[in-house]
Amino acid sequence: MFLSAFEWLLGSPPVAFERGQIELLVPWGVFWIAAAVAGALVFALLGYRRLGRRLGRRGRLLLGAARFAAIALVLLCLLRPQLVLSLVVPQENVVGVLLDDSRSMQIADGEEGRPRSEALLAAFPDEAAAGHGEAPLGDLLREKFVTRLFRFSDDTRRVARASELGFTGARTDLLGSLTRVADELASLPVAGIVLVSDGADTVAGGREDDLDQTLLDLRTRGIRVYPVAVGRPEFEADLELGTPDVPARVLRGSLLEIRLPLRATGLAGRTARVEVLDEGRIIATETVRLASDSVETTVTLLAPAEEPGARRLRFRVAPFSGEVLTRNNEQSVLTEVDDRPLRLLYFEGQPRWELKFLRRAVAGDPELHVSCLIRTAEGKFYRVDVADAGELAGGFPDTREELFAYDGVLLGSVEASFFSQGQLNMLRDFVSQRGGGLLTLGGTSSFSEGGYRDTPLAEVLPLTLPAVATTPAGAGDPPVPAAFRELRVLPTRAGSLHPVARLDPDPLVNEDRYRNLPPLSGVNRSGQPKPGATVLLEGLGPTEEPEPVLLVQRFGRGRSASLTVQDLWVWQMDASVPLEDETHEVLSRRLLRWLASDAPRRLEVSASPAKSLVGERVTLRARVEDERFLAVNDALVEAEVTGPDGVISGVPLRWTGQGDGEYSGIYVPGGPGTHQVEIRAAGAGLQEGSEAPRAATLFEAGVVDDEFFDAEADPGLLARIAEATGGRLFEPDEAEALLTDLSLAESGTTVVERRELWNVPAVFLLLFGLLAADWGVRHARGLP
Amino acid sequence: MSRSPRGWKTVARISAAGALVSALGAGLFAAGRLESGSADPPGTRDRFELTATFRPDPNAVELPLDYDNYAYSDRFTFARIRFEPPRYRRGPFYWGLDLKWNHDYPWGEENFTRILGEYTSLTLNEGGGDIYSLNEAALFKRPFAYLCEVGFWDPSDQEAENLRAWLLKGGFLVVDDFVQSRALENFLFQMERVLPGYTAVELDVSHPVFDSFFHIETLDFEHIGRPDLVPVYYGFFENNDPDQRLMVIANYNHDIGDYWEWSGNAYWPVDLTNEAFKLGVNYVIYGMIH
Repeated sequence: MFLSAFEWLLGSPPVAFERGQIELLVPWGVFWIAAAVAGALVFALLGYRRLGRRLGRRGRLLLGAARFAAIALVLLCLLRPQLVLSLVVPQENVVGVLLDDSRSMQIADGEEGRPRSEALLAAFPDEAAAGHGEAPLGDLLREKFVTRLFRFSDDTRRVARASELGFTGARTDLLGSLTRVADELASLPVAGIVLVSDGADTVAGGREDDLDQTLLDLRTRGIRVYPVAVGRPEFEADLELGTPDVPARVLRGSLLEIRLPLRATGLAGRTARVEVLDEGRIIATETVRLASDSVETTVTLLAPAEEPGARRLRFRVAPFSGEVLTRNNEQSVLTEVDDRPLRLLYFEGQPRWELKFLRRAVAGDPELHVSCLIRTAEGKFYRVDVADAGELAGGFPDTREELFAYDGVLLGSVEASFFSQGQLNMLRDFVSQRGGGLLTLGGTSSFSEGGYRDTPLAEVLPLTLPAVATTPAGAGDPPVPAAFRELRVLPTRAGSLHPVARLDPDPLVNEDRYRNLPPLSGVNRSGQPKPGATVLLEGLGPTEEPEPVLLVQRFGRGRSASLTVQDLWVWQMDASVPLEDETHEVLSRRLLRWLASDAPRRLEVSASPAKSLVGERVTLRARVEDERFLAVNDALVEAEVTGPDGVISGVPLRWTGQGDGEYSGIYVPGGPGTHQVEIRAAGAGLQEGSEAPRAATLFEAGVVDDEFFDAEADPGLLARIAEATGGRLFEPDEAEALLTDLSLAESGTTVVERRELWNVPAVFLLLFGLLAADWGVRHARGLP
Repeated sequence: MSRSPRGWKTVARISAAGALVSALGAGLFAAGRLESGSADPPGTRDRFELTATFRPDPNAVELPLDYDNYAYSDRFTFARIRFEPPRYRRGPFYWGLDLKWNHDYPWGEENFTRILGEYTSLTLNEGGGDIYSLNEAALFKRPFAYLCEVGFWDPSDQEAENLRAWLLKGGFLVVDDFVQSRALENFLFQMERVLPGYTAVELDVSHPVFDSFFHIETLDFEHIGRPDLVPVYYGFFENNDPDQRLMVIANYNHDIGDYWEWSGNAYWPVDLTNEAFKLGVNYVIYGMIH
């Protein structure tokens, strides 16, 4: 409305004034112009001098200004101002038309449930439209320009007509497509690029630098982009499952911790039931109340990992009524359920009930192998559950090879002075470099009381160690140590959601289960959780001040956990705990599994993207370390990729030269389905027993459904592209305006057009208005 | 086999009759249940899914005796199990009473815990031990216990169930000081009530319990006052499987507690006393690890 009024008043659209230049046709010198203006001013003021008394000072000035403005306007018109425009020569310029061919164009969020693609096809009909009303954009463009049509999704291809589009592209690569089209049209006179899309880019997301660089590049080449936005920027009602965060590998029998982001629009207050399916079987559910619009909520799900091997987990929420897009109510993710037992070492400085009951708790767990070493007397050790006669025969390991063979280490009640400085450093490196898990247990000779305060292990622990006097316990000590206190143990909020401490999915039931357990006890002065630590269980002692009982943190590549009580075994043995109660077993197993299951192996492999397109390059990456977990750069690494059809292809992996021990290779899947990848590494120091180490992963080809996620139209991105390249964003029904914009090109083949400005309606109206004001005032005051 | 409330004085008569019946029954039963230490082929054993719940027996009668138990802490504490003796009489034992379960008390545990503290790295209460009946919940904070004179032991049904719960949860019981077949028969009969379907297995020196701290070369000891008796070590195993955890070790025809008791005054030969201490230390260490 405003734009058309502007065009009527000034004879040209605003864009013409933006791009064009205003020149005066009559070349008067500055002196003459100044003299004429001064004359007009004098004439205007003198004319009212005689009437000064009757008008007053203000009236005289007002009338003088109006007369002066009227005379100045006439003077300006006599100078013949002109708008000089550079207009494209019809049919001599090329317009690249990029049509979005991705699947998100199928989304039916238009009027009366019409898909986005319909707006696109209506704008670019195959045959010239014969009907009345505004001509489609395609026809208008063809009248004035040579048009080159391209379809694009993850790639870009020339098409003869828009009806060739199938809207099946699995991705939308806006920037890549723009660059490719700009390259292709580089040798031609290009008036601009018209980009018809919903703007829901699935490739550039998050790559701000790339976006800025590409846009800058287009601008330097003088290519303006005119996006035509289709689709709605926000759905009326929609629930979208984000990408689930799932560990790449989980130990069989463990609880798989899944974090699933949920984004809901127009469904605030409704409840959604999230289901996790493994091979069609529901393995976990969680009900969540949806937050207010477009706020992302993360749902934490714990699902049992029972079947070994590669698992494709599916997530779904039943569609709500009125949801435009239901495809984004489903997600899937790949994970590997591992049945290789974890190896842990439990070292106790003295025989303790804690060890006996922990051994019994994990005895039934085939995935946990805990070798125990107990100092039964000074210099005397007892080994139990060792794999062979040689294991731990020399006592606590004093080489990296021996210690790093374990995935986790448990330290019981053993004073720091038992270890050499080298062993303490090695234990720290075991966590930070090797990526193993360390669990420290409360006891007479643990934590501060064990003299760990100023050792390298203090930095690994998830809690600070208070200063205490350390005297080893002896016969003269009182029967109950000074720091002994009973602790009623309860889960924290974080604990209720953590795979170790969550005994029941319902937080209230979970807390009740802990409430019903007997109190435990501590003999160590309580430390404070470190900033990066998470407290899962806390204890209330006689002071009713909560103190951390079970806390965890990451340290370097590994994990560190502390259980500050000295008698978790009471939860197994106490008279009030029913014989069939499994709390102690479940907690112990989960804690040890959690501790060690993330420990990297000496050979690790990954494939990215884990969900690829058929024909897309999949990068296989491997990390190779020797038995001391030091990176190896000269290994012979080879991957075998087994396709869904059973065909095996070999892919050599080469050292990247960028990171120590990092190798990569490229594989291009030829068909859809799950691909198994197995790699082997050979070289010095790499043997695991008699065999070369192996590792496996998998990826899936041809199942990319990114287009239905984050699928709302993104006019923001399109507007940014337009602004950065000097173009403008249009709606599909603004074909004429788009054409005008395009016609005023600075690039391509153009002619100069001069438009007179003295005869536009605005000048006449302004002059009329000034004279009318002058006359009106005089009439009102009764002046001549 | 439920019991009615009764006074201490009447116990002797009723219990004596009960013991006779028990002994007869046990004799018949034991003939079929005793087994040698050789293991069955795997898979032939039954798994025993027993349940048990600790409850104090409301009918239990306990003689008021003067003793103090250690407060629960981080320390290992020796625990002696008391039971209702078949008859109440005077004797050369602590409190001047022969209660059967109090034989060697308190000097046995006093000396033994000192040796245990001396030789091992255990943090423990030295110089004595606790006393618990099978009706006391606090026993479940002491997973190692000592029970003697089981020839006279006749627990109530609830006590038997309580001991079953204690054992199956992880308790380790040392049974000592019982000689001759009648005592053995009673012990086995009562153990059938505690662990129905479980079998006593004769242990040989190759069992890990004899190598858990001291390496015991031979099990050919002499009974303290009866050189004619041959000690035999019976074990009860978790899930009735000799490859699993030993829950009960019974020193039949043996009395290591007596060696401990008299170790201070050279009443018994030093080398035999040593062996008795070694067995005791091994039992504790084994019980705390397995």
